[in-house]
Order: sequence, then C-alpha cells, then structure tokens
Amino acid sequence: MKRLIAAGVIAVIIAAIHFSGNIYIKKVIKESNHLLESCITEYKKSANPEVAAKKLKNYWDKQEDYLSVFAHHDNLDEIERAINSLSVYSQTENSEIFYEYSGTVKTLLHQLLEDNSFNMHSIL
Amino acid sequence: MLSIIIRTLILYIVLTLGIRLMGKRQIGDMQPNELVVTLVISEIAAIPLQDSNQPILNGVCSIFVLVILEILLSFIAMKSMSFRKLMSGQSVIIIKNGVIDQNAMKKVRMTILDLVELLRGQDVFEIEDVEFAVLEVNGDLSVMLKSQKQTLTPSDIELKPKSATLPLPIISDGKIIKDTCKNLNVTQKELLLLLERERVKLEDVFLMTLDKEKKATIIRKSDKK
Repeated sequence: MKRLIAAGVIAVIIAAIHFSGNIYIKKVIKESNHLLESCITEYKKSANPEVAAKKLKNYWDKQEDYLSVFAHHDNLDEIERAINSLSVYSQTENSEIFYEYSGTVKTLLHQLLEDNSFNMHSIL
Repeated sequence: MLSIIIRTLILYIVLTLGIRLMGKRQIGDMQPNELVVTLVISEIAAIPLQDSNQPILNGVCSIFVLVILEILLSFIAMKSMSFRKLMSGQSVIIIKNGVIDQNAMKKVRMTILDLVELLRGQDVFEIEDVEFAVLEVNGDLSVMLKSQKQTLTPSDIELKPKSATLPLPIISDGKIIKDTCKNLNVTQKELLLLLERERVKLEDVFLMTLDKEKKATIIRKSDKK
C-alpha cells in the first residue's frame, strides 16, 4: 500500500510538471509571437524594427533556460539562431531576408508548440 | 563535461529510486511484465545520457511513468486472479506421477533436453522419481519427488528436534547494531557483560552473532590477538 501511495504522489507530480510545462511553453510562444508581430509592423512602417527585434531576442534569451527543461534543446537553439538573424536583418533594408527569417521564427515557434502539446501528431 | 556528470548523477538517483519503488527482485525471479519494464527503463535512461540535447525531464518522467504502471499492475494482479493470469501466464504441470505431459511441453515450447537439464539442476536424474514437476511462470522448474525418493526428515521417524533459532549479527566491526539489540531484547550493558565474560573488548570484535537463546558466536579482528 505504501508503494501505491508513493506511485500516486509521483503520478500527481508528473501531471503537475506536464501541465505547468505546457502552460509555460504556450505563454512564452504567445508572447514571442506578439513581439515578432510588433517587429514586423515596425519594419513595415520603417520605424524602429531593431528595437522590437532586440526585445524579442532579450525575451527569448531570458526564457530559453527555463524552456530547456521541457523542450528539445536543438529546437530551442534553432529558434535562437533565427531570432538572432532576424535581429541583424531588421537593421538592414533587405526586406526579402527579413521576411524570410520572420517566417522561419513563426514556423519554428509553431512547431515547438505542436511538439509539446498533447495531440495525435505528438503521440504518434 | 560537468553537465554530463550532473545528468548522469540525476539519472542514477532516479533509476535507483525507481527500482527501489518497484521492490526487491532478482532478474531471474521477475514476472514477464516486470522484466519488460526493467529492460525498457534501462533503455530510456540511456537516451538522455547519450544525447545532452534531450531534456532530462523527458527521461525522468518516462521512467517514473513505467514504475507507476508496474506498481499499479502488480497491485491489480494481487487483487485479481484473472488479471494475474493474463499478465504473467500460468504455471504448467510438466510431469505427473512420473509421466511427462507431452502436450504441456508443446504448449510451453520446451524440449526434452531442456526438461532433463532443469531436472538435473534440481538434483533429479530419473524422471520416474518425480511425482510432480511444475514449470513456474518465471521459468523455474519446481519438483516434488515420489514419497519413497524423498529425503528422510525427523518427523518421518517421529523425532521432535528443538526448533532452530536464527543467529543475528549484533556487533559488526566493533560497532553494536542497535536494531538487533531491540529484536533480541538485549541491552547494551548485557552485551558488554557478555563480551567481558568472553574476555573480548568491543573494538576487537569483527563479528558477533547472537540468537534468541543468547548463544553467542564471536569472531575477533585478525590484526588484534
């Protein structure tokens, strides 16, 4: 019976880790997408896209350590690289590459969300 | 490098905890589902060790999920006979009254050479001497010899020997084991008196065992004569 109680406690801890991890990842991706959108808007307006890109970069750098507890480190590094490139190209007028990197960041963020959420695709 | 060492330490602790939670069993004594869980756990633990890009939490969670599953299944198996049969199978009688049940052997895919080998392992060299031989779910063969071939026991000749008492280690390497003192209802003072009577100092004792009838066996340390 003691073992069953211990198993129950561990099951609750695992469930708590799973749900809090999912909520955290969703929150970070939502905020990153929001910062990315504002960076694109600023770029379109030719205002200050590099400030918005820097904000996104700083936010991602801060969250990456915590995200690495739940997500595959390679995926996080890939997103970091894309955000860094986005930050560099936001200072140039090469819109083609800027939009390409913003698209890459969006796709990678979506992929990260999909990989860590509970759905048929992630189970199979 | 340091991160790999820390990851290894964490996984080692998790694995030890997991196996401890599953309970004490030798590999050979495991039921099929226990063996599967043990093998899969060792494989899962290896993944985050080899690939430092994998979050360690994935491995830890998978290990604990398997351990929980194992505990849950063994609990259900304890309560339900049919579930136990489904999970672990059933013991099969291979020899009955000295006659081999060939159908049963076919069912468990056992050759006559396997059977003879298992019988030899039980010190049985003649199949006719066997009353019953049962193949257990863990692969062991339990053998019951015919009554005329069984070893003579005191009860066969109506003898009533004194019941044996288990000698427990009470001093190990000059240190008193308090749990044994409690079990045998002996105080430390009594123990020291006993040593005094035997003319041995506590620190000179390598091992001392004591049974319920207070019969002591003392082995001194070899460098102190």
